[in-house]
Amino acid sequence: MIEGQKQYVLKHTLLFIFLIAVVNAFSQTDSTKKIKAPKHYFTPTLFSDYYTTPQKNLDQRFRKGTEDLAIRKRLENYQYSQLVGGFYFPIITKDYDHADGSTGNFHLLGTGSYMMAMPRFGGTSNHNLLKASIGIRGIYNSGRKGIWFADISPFMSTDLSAHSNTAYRWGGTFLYDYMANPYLSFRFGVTRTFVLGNRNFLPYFGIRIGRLDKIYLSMQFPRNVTFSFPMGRFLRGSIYFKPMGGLFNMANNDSIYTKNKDNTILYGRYELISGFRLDANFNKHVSVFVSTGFTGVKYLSFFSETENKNNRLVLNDFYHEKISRGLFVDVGFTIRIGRAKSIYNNYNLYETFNLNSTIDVGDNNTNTGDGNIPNQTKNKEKSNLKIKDVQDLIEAQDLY
Amino acid sequence: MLFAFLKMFPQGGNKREKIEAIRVAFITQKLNLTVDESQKFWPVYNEYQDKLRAARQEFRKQSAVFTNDKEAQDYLDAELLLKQREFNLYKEYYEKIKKTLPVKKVAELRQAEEDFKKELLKQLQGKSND
Repeated sequence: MIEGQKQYVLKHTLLFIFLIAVVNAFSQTDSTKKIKAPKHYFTPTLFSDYYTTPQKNLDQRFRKGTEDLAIRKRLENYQYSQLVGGFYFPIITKDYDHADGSTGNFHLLGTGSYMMAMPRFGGTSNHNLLKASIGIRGIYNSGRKGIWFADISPFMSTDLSAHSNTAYRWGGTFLYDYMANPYLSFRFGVTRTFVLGNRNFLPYFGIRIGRLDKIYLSMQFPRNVTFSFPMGRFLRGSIYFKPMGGLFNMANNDSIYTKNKDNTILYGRYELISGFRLDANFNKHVSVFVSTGFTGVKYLSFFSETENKNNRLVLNDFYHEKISRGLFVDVGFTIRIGRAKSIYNNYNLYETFNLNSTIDVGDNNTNTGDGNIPNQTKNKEKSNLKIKDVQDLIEAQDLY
Repeated sequence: MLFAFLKMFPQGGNKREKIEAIRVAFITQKLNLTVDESQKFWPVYNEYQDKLRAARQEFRKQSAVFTNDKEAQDYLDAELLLKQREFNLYKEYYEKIKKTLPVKKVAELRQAEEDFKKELLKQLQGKSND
């Protein structure tokens, strides 16, 4: 790991410990306080992940039709790492009892994230590119077949390493989820996203076959294709394909772009990665994951801020480079704080949770996992019971 | 700070979740719930159990060691309040559950709950006999 990146990982870790301590200070239980049943299905959640790829030399051969050999020579090689942190917390949860006996609910969540993108080039100074978002998402679970989802994440992007302009952009998703039964669901909608390394306004289409607490295959365009399976009670494995990327403001202090004397250019990154991910859900509150695999398709692009000033759609790049394939490593954790309302066997809520994790906070296409969906349990697992484990379930007279 | 961090997470949560999961499987099997019934029944039943658990946890905070009559009286009052709350919840959710399941299955639910308790007690008994 490069020295600058080490510093950011350390700062990031300290920031999380601080955040946890602050949340804890506000969540201390007062023994004299009346115990109430939990209000929300979602609990305040913190998550973080670190993703890195090895250094690759850029192809220095002149290729027909390309005019950017000078830039390629200047950059020499390319390595990329990123650190993502984020949170969401419930603001409003409202249950609706329908006349047919079904229960619907509405969830309003506050969201926030930050990403430190750390592209490293052999021939330029180091850049640490910050992307930070504050957003809101609303989910309405009808309790029957349909779930509506809306998310908006305004974010800012700037270069912390050198003077650059700050850009304000937004990502968002609006979709409808039709859950035919616990084994089959469809999602349709639209998404404004930067994960393909440019500004895209795309249709969203998804299908899932198989139960979320068992084995399932989920194809969610443009987010991911995942085959997920439980490995015992606490572990879940996934084989997946997904795009990762973003568009970041970057200082032009290395004069990569010389045409308009701009002090800022836009750095775009797009990777299509495939890999294996192992999620360990220690309990409802703490999950960690490790993932590794290959970046099959990998591009980096630079865009002129000035040239794209009046461009409201897909941005036009002045440099576009295909990077050779390589390995990646991705590790992360999720912490869920406090108690939530019970969701056992409530497949509408399982689907709601999966929607919330698939469309990640901050449009980085990182995934917090579904640690709050319990893996299907077999009846035979009932041993080592103690009175305190079951005291809410049995009454004193049951013991006579 | 580490202790503060650990305090945020209820101890023994895993076993609790495990038992709840077993109960879900037990009731689902006993009642032979259809997908539609399951979709309506579990949200209501989970809510009922959450409220019941909160009421019982609150009662358990009462000390069962009495140094004077007032403390003993407080304990008895709290116990009475718990029984009242349990009854109110039973009444409220009995009506709600009746909207989600046929009456026959509601009656079977009571039996399934009893059978589940017996299963738990058998487990506990087995442990104490070891």
